[in-house]
Amino acid sequence: MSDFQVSDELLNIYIEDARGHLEALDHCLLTLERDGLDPATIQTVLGPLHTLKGNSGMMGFTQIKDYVHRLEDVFAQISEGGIVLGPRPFDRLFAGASALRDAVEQACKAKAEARSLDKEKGELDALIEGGPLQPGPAGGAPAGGGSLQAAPATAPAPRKPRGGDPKASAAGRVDKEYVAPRSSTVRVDFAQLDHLLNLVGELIIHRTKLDRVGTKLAERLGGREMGQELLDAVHHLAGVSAQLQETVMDVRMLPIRHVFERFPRMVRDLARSQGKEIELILEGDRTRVDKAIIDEIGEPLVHLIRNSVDHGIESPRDRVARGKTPTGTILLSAAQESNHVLITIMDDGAGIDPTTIRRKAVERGLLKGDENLPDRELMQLIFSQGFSTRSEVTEVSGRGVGLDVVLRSIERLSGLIEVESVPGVGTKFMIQLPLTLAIISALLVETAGRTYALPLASVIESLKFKPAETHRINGRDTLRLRDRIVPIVRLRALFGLGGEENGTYAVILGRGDKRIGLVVDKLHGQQEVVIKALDVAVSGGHVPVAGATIMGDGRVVLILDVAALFEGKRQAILGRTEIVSLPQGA
Amino acid sequence: MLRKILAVDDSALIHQMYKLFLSRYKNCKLISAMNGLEALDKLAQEEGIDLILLDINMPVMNGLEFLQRVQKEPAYQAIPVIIISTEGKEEDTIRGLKMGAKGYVKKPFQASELHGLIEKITTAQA
Amino acid sequence: MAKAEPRKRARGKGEAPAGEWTSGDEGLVFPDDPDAAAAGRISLPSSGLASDILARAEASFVADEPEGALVPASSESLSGDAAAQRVHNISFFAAPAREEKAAVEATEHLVTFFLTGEEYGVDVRLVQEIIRVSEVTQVPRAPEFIKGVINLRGRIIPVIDLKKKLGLGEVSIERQARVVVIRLRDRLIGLLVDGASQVLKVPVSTIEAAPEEVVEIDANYIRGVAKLQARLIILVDLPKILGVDRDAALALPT
Repeated sequence: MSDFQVSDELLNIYIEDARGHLEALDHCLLTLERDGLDPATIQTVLGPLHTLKGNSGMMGFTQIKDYVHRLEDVFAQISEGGIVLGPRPFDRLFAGASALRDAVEQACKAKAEARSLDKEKGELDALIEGGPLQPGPAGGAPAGGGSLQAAPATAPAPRKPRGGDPKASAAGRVDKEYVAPRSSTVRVDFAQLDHLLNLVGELIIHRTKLDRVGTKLAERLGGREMGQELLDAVHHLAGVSAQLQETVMDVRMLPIRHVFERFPRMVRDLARSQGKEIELILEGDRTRVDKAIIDEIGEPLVHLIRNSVDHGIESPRDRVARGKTPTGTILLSAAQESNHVLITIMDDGAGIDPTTIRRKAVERGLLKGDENLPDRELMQLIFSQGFSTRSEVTEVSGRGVGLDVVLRSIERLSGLIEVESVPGVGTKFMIQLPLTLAIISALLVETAGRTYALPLASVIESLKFKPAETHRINGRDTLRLRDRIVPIVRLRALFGLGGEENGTYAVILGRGDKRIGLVVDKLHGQQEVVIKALDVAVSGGHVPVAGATIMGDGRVVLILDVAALFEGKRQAILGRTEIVSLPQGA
Repeated sequence: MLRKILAVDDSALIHQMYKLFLSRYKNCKLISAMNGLEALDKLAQEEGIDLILLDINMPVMNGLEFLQRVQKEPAYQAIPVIIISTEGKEEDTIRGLKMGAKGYVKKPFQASELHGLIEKITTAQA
Repeated sequence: MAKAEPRKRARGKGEAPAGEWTSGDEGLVFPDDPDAAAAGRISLPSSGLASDILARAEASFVADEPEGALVPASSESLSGDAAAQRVHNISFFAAPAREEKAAVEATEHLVTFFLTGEEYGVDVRLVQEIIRVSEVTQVPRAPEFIKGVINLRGRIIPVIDLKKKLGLGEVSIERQARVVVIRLRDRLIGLLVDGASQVLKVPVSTIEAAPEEVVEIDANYIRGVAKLQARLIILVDLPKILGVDRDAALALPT
């Protein structure tokens, strides 16, 4: 056996393909379990299995290859009724699919086969040889006409199950064997899309400049024809580049189904392991969302769904005792609304009890004993660090992973999350996300000669003020804004920029119900900017910067992290790191 | 002298491996197709294909159907075809050989094995 | 003939309209795989020429006779043991990797630069380019040794003041100062240095462990020193300095 080094490039291609094939396998098993035996369902999984087998063999992953080969045998037998599907066989098949997935992921991490599939292969063998295991419910009548019955075959199944004219069926089969018709799509490396987006970003920057210069020049040329031509050309260019931007953003948008796909399986497994009965309903999985979001939203959604399964939905007995149906329901839905996506996770479980929240909050010092918060705000406390309403840490939810992590993830995506609940009835989490992360509208501000960008989505308004108008309350400077008191943060001091504080503009930023006023020297207007990520060496920790962008003249302008400003405000102003509650009405 | 090789397979991974395996043939252009129909298109577009590496199981048009059509065209008949076989589908391979393919190699295969077969076939042609 | 194996039915598309296979034709058995012979499955060696396989097909027996069937002429086979052929690994990559290792052992390929008059060297494979210092945008509340960020052809990369990082003072941005752009996997990081020197190969024999004098910098950061005729080049371990796993950093391509 020769030594070899598998290149990263190959591994990437392999794992990308493999994940798709494994999804197809899961999907097939779920469909079979739900709808019963249907040869069409099995046909759709054969192609992916075959390719996975071939690819795995070429990569040297022999165990995986052999296992997939055995799976093909199993499906063939199922197709002919040689194996009757019941809960036990399904359990084995699902377990095998998980093991296979695990083996694939491990092999890719280690660049060589890392775990054995002997046990699982043995189970498949048992399925093949054992014949019908249990006369389990086949889950309803087999769908479609002319399909094989889910019973032990009395005669060897015909070689061409569909019967009829061999030529016709051969031609027909070529089309039906694979669900995907002639390919009308192109496979594109996401890095290339990113590059394309960068180019579009540059285009936007220069087009904006051209806009300004062109308009000025056109004015100078007066009513002369050339002036008009120039203006026309500039406007036309603006139109085309706007369309280009939209199209590229559109290409990056994928249906959120990519994220949702894994969940039915996850809920099934979790529910079974806890002896609960739960149905997961998906809605709006065609809703499209930027790939960057798809990449990041998976984890928080997993936490929230696990939460619903663990702490939300009660055991069938408890549910019945409360007059509910024994099967709990979790609804996961996505919908687009103007320029955001709304993702909702709703369950009909035990709900969250405000009194428990209150008690825990007081215990953890997040709330003063006599302080009174409206229920809605009380609920939001569950997103605070270290908050957990369960004393044990269940294995399923993992250690120390709380809703605060979910909050942070969502905020990193420039999103918002809220929770509503009625004790005994159910809980609803609502997540709002921007459609795209890559390009945002920003407000440019300047302090101490440096320019910074603020995401316009967080800007409520901006105003000019006089030093006399600030009031000191509880040791903090504040501004009166109509009927509210808004604490202010001085950018110069916060960033240690030196010099004398003489800013007269305040940008009012909002996060949920809270407001702060960011004091800066100058305002420079709004602009669309392409967000570029910052290396980890720079971001994270105490740096209140969410990214950076490049201006038309090549200057780098930092984009401020509004959430960090809300939190850092407490630290900077007080010089301490403990959490301090905000004054009333802020 | 191999100038153009047409590889037909629905797996992007295999194409990547071909790129590596066949890089030893300098000045040889590697053309990829994802199924039999695409392969027919490429045959029509590119002149002077010297060798075809053919997978059997592909969507839209599989390898055997492709081979059958190719054998009917005088212009393409003479191009040597190597079938990429998989375990369990030996009959398809044999069928392909009977239809005129010059040889086969089974997945998973080593680069050296493919090279050896290619050499044998191309010298036999000469 | 015992041939009913479920596997076939699960696929088997694309029958040729003419010259159809009938059950009788599929009596080809090659006993590389005695199990296959017993089960009546077709078995083929891992590769072969049509001329050989089809010739045998004419002369083959039906699977009922497990032992008497033909043994393929192994002189034709391209690899030795049939059993070994079942388990394949891609051997193609091994050759170049070994060659490259051999080359690396003989010399080290370095990029050198200056910090306060001392010459330092890093592995050339880590260096993407060396550029003049352009406008550096400060990042508030960032660690001390981070000078800021710069725009490198549309990509924003951090610039680390290497003297600050190593505790040697501070780089003052004068005409000769340079930014050495390092690539670690897909991360790009700029190192601000007093001046760039050159790219050179030093024989491995000139490299020794760092002597006691070079004690200002944390010994962990130093891989050794190269003693050339008139110069001493201090070899620094960049991945260590930047807190990155070395092998991950280098990720040598095949």
